[in-house]
Amino acid sequence: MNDLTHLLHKIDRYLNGQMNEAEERAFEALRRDNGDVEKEFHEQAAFRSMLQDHADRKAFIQKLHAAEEKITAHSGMRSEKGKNNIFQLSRQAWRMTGIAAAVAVLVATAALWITGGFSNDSGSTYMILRREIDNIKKSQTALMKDFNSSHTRPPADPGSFGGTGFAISSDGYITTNRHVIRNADSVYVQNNKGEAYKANIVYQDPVSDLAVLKVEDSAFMLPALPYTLAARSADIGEDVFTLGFPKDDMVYGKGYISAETGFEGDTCAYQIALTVNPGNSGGPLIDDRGNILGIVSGKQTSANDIAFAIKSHYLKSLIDSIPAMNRKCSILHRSTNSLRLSRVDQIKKLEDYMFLVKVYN
Amino acid sequence: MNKDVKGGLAEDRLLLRNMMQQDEDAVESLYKDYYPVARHLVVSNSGTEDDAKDIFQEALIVLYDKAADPTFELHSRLKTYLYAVCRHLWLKRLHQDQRQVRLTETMEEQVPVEEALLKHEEADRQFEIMNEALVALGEPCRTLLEDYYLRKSSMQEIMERYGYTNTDNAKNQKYKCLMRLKKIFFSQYNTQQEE
Repeated sequence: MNDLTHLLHKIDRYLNGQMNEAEERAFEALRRDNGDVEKEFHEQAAFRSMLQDHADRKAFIQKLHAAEEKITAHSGMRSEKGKNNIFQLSRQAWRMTGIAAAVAVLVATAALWITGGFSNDSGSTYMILRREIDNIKKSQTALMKDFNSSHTRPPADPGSFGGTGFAISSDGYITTNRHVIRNADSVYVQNNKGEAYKANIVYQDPVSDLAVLKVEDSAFMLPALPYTLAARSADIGEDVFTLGFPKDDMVYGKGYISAETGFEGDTCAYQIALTVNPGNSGGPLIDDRGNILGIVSGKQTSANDIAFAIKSHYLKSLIDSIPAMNRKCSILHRSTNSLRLSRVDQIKKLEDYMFLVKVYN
Repeated sequence: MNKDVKGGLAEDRLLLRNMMQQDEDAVESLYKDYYPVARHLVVSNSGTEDDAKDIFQEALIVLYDKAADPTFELHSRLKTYLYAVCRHLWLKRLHQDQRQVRLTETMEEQVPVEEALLKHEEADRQFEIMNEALVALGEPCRTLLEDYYLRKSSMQEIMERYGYTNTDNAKNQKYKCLMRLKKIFFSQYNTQQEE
């Protein structure tokens, strides 16, 4: 192999995120010291993105063809009357999409009632799963007073709200629901061993109801993430599980995907048959093979076992939209994970990457 | 949440973002919601149903090309934006066919889209040249590059799939294919740009 072939492959490996940290550093030093390498690097990066853009645009045009065929094949499209019908229908669908934006905030519930009439709903509402720690804590202290002396977990104050978060990079980026950390003055994340770290909110998106936290301690480091973010959509009937913190210890829950849309037809979420409780918000929804399919975010009040999870590609697009984070979040760059194990072993591996998110306000 | 953003615009931005993620539901709902408007514009201005389909599809690609720019933010409703783009595209088509028509308009509000159309033309040009270059490159080079750069196959997988004796041979082949593609692409891309 000649030098250029070798260099080019190095560049590719770097851009694919396949280098280990030592290699990465050495390569970055090489780029700094050698102008030709740097130039070659930029050319290659630019051409790669041209190839990617071309493939994406091509895929998009194919999607347009498919949608056109599907929608305009509708026989009513040609008559004026039919056209109006479609318009009305789509307006309805439109509002449904709106719900995606609205579920993020509690106010959504009110909005649903106001716009009413578009759903013949049976009185059920969407309930976010953030936990009011104060309430629980009060009843617990009554029971546990005697053990107070052995209570060593920092910080001493239990926090006013709690949810779940999971690591999306080794160096301390953690994702959770935006409603968990809403109006927070300070946020701590605590692992299942009880170790708590102060975290900063680096990003929050009210539309998707997702947020990203970063552990403040720069020395914080986890081993390589064992899971990956699923690129595909989940299928109805697929077995899933979640890990979360409805109490201070991690709790496992198992269920299945029951519908491809969430509350009131929300296309941004899955409906899952899974028992979840306040505190489960922000936990990962994981398939049998250890791919993250979504982020558990709420449940329906009227029924047991109707919960909702935001689809994983909203998390991916959120991460993609923040270039500084994009490269750090190795969860996106991987195509295989290390979780083809029994459930017990899967959970043992996952445990270290799950966090109780404590919010003080 | 930003208070000055109206709910409708926020919904449109979400839909646009989903469209950029190639979400099929988003693309379908764009067709359901806005194709009838485009169709009405074209059909009531001496176009056919097929013209309307072409124009609307191109308008969505214009939107895609524009929104591919990370700094782009949607400031008007999608309905208004797509209507303005369709209107421009249809006027241009009528002009090319040397047909003089006064448009029967259905919408008052207009947004500027000239810049988006220029960007679209450039994106279209690059797209076509890349298409031709990939065809001219031939097999197995094309599939090899697509396997590696788009489907993220490992060198090991490529070595096995294409029957190379070791990964160094596979890397060499990848390198040769890439250089050839770049040569074909840029020979077209640069000459056309100078014209």
